[in-house]
Amino acid sequence: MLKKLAKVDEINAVLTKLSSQHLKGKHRALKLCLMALLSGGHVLLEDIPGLGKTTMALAFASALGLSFGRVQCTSDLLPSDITGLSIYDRTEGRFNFIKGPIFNNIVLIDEINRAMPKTQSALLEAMEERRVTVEGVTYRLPDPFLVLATQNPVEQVGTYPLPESQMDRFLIRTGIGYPPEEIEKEILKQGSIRDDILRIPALVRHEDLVEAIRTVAGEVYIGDKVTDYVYSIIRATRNHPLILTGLSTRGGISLVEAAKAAAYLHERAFVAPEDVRDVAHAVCPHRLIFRPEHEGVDKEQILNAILKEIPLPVT
Amino acid sequence: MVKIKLLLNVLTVCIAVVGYLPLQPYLGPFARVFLPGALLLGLYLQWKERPLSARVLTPSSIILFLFFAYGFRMDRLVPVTADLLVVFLGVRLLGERSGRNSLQVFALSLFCLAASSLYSLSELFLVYLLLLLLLLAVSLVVLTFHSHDPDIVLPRDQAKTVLSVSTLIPVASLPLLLFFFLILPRTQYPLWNFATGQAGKKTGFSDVVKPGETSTVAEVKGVVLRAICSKVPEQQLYWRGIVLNGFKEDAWVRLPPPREFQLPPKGETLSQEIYPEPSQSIYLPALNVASAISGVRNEKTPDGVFTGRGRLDKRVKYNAESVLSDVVQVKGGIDRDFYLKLPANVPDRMRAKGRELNRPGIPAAERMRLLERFFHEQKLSYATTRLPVGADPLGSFLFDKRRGNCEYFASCYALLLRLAGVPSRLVGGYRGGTYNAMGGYYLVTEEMAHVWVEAYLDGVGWQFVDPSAWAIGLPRPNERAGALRMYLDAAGFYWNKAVVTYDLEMQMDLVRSAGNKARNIRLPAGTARMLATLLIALLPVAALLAWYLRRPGSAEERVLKRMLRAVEKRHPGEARGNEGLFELAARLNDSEFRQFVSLYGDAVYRDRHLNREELARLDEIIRKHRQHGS
Repeated sequence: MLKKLAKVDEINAVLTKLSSQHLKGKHRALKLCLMALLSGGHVLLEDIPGLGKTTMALAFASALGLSFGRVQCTSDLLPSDITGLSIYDRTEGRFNFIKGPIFNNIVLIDEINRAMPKTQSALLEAMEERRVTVEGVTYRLPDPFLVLATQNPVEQVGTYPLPESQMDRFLIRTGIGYPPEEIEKEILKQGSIRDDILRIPALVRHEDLVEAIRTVAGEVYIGDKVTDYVYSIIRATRNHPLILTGLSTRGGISLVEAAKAAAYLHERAFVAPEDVRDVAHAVCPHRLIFRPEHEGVDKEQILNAILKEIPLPVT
Repeated sequence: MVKIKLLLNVLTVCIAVVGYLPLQPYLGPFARVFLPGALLLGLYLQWKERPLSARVLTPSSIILFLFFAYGFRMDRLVPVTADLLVVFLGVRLLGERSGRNSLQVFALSLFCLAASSLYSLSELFLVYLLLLLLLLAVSLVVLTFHSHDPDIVLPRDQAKTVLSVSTLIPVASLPLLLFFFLILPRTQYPLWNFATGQAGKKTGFSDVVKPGETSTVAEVKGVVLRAICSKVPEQQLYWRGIVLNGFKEDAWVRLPPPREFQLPPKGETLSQEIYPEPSQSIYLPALNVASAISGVRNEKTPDGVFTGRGRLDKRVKYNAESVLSDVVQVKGGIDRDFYLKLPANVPDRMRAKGRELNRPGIPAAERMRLLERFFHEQKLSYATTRLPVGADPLGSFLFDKRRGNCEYFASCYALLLRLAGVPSRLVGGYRGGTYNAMGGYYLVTEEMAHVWVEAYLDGVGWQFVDPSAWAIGLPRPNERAGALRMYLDAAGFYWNKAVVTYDLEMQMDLVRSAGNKARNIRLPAGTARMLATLLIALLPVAALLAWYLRRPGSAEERVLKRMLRAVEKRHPGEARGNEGLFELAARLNDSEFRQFVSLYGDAVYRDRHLNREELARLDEIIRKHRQHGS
């Protein structure tokens, strides 16, 4: 039989348990978050408030046994509110660096579009570099590190929407969506489960998680055929008449990395074309910049049309 | 934008015209004028949007009906009905275009076309019928729109779709038409014309030759017969119809021929398949000299004339065997006295000329030669106008006016021969024919009617002589007909041949002859070898192309194809296009397929080929899958 990928059972068990017991109806979003964690990317959750973004992030962190930090963005939030700052210790007579919320494995940045651009920029830099430099000293951020930023698509007043170029920093953009009717009724009966979630025991060991991340990066193989498929998607977005700027090379890399994580979750040591196609819905649309006259069109629909045109390589 | 109302209007007018046109030549004068008038008036009223109401139309229909019914007699059943149909059609066109009225117009037009088939069975009927079928199908579809909402307006492309789809309906019914053609009974002659005997015109050669009756021979261009045969030299194209051997007063007529025994002429036999046009004649023309005729019941008289048992008033065909010969030998001699009888009045000038030749010592052949020289010397010219008339037309032709047609030439020559003591007779028939290369047949028309002479020489037999050939300026028969006319004639010919006189046996014959023709095609020498070389040269190219088009795929491709076929068998119709293998396997929840895919994908998506062992395992999985499936 084929060689088993390291720790894949443990990771899938977490996913199954979370989505079946604690976070019903959020399987897709959870899976995407897990993919982002496994491939070292970040997630932009774009949905209206009250659908359980915070709950999901909390449960995710608890179940994986990771530390959790949260930042509520406001227009007067300063970069140091996120990164932390040095405070003078009178007894010792020196400055001590107090770490900000970003020094956690999983950081929930609520309503990122309310923060002013300066703060956003600092945050995005930290996401990309995985380290923070404060007053000349560089601090490494913990590993694994996942930022879950949320953005409210409805509110407009007093916000600083993320520019397209910065959207590119997020591996995955997704919504959560309303839960299915049955599940929503059940949730209504139970009431908020915020307290229960805090008591979720860690379902996976930290070493296993790190090994899984290493496996995704090092052992999931992407072959020529699938690379060709990815490239044909990229080319199609670049040549599409409605699209001004198609997928960048970074977009392509992100697509491959997300696909690797998807393949890992499917217990495969190689990427199949359907992995690419399935993650493309979450990875690609927010990277496409449409021509000004077509800004209103649904990006996901256009992407779907493009994907439908390109045959999956089967031989 | 297309207004359905307008479209229906146009279609209705077209249908009425198609119904009226084939019947038009047979209508009474009132009906013939009434319909076009009603059509125009109806169009005007439609345009003004003030069509006549039923309150006006119904009484006028009744009045018209009474008017025609007054002229009704049992023997005028069809003409009165035809007139009535057309008049009713006209009345309907004056009314408003409701669904009911339109349907009545359609039905009346169809009846009119049907009525026209009682008069004539021309190939145009098929054209009108197909046209009407097409128009009716389209109109009925348009009518459904109209009855839904008379003011409906369709966008141009939608109207186009409606029209093109509805045109397909009659096209789809064409095979049915063919089927009914095979099984339904049919008539070979137009019923009405046959019953009244109007069509039976007297055609071709006459059985009385009496030059001097009229000064002008009218040229009629009707078709007499069509004969399928190989091409014959122009100077031998004589179609023998009748022999005139005696006199009634001064006119040459046919008397019962005396007994004589003609020997069959020697030479190559030429078969003809002859399709005469319907006529009142009983004679069966064939190339001179015919030895036998089959296909219709007929009788052969001693002088080589074939008569049918009945009149040729419907479309028939017969086969003739002829030998193109100038001489007919007779065994045991002839009744010389019979063939030397003279008419009641013989002009003196001619009698003198005959006496001049009729001297003992000059053999009969010499007398004929002398007479021929005399004709040449007289410088006679061939003409069909300003012919000699009066008390002595023959004398006037020979000595004064010196112009005449074949009747003058032949009857003068035959009479002079008899005066000179050489037995002679006139032969009537046709001379020439337009060869239709497309149909491979000769077309013989009325104006080719001709009379020539046979003279009897002892020891030789009946000798063919055409005195008209000695004329100055004998008109060359019109060899070339217009190409279009030839095509049209061939079309009509085949229509008669394959449709009107259709029977199964003949159909088989047509197929057989086509097969024979195909077998007898002669290719120029060397063609076969060249074709063979070409084929051999093309063979590798074709093989290469075939291999390229369906070259066997890689081992992976083949094994996947087999697996997918097996999957399709177990889950028919479930595989959608553009779906990943893993995805499909998961969706179908097919454990063997899942195994297959994980093994297969591990090779294909890892950029390596399946090794022998893996292939064997995949084959095993496929085999198991098939077993479980069945």
